[in-house]
Amino acid sequence: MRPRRAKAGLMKENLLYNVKREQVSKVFQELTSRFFGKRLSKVTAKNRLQMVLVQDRSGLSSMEMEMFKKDLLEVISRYFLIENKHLEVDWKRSEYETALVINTPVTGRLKVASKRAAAC
Amino acid sequence: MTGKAIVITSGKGGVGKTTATANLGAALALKGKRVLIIDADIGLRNLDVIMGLENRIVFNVVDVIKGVCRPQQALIKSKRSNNLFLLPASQTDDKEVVSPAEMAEMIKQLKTEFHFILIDSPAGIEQGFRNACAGADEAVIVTTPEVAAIRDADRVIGLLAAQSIEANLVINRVDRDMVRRGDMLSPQDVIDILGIPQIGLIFRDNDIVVSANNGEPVVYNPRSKAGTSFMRIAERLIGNEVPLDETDYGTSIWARLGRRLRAA
Repeated sequence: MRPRRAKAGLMKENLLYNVKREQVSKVFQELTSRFFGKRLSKVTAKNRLQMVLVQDRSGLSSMEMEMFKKDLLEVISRYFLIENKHLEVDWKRSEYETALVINTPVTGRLKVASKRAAAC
Repeated sequence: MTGKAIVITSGKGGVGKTTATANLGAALALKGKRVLIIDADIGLRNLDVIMGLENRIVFNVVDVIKGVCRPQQALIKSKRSNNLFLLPASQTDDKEVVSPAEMAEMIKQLKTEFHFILIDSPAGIEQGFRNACAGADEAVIVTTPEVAAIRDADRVIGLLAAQSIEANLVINRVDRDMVRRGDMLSPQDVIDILGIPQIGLIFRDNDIVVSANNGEPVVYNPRSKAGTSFMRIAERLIGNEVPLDETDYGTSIWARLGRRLRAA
């Protein structure tokens, strides 16, 4: 089964659109920079800024952020099969709202979860 | 008349707040608005030299707040316009000498006499910044396409949002060639990262340095690119729709061709 992208968090459609658009442009920039044989420094700048702003905006230290990711992964993997246990956390701001965006590739639903829920 | 008070701020120093304040003030005055520009950088005043009014200062913003003089005595009329006034900062006091409440009260009173009050904020996020924001209805954030400036701008946007002050972005000192080569964040990249609406874009322009040397805002130079950009921002501050077509700096032959066709 092909991995699907599952997203959780508070967001409106415009925000979802922006996330998708950014992912596409990120891939595009990566491709062009690889084609030209060097990494564009603005791509580095953008990636570094996005990392540091997640910390600044959330107020979590990098250690706390790792703990948060670990906890989240634990909860999500109770219900879904997650690929490589990888999680991207982003703190998105649009004109209208701020949203915590969690992005992780999901390979499928865990059947155990429903049984466990029934047992409770 | 109830004017609008706008704080010009950035977090980081040296990105062009004072230049933006002087030029937006001059541009709004050219458009027929009655404008007051206030230097809120107490202890490190500079708006007076950018405006070329450093020799005319008698009283300052601290004198007004402390009741040493009436506001009208401290206001300095600009050389070029009868609609543009400067309220200079004190050079000898500390930023703590006035409180945000006092500042807000003064601006509230002055708003009755002007269409626009532009407040030039000091760098940083301490009391000087809080004083500058205290009376503001909205904010203009000035940033450059550099990681340090953008990070600081983001912090300031967060602080303003907590006070429900709406913020618009001016991206300053953009180098077309560097953007084209991919060695500078593009205006769109900056917007994507900061997530607030853009109100202006200013390309790197040597005229800015020359105009600062002469103590004359660059908007008075009709041939200056930066001056034209400031005029367009002023138009948007007034509420007129002006397309942000400065972003259209043609990355490819197709973009350039498209622009030609549209212009024809």
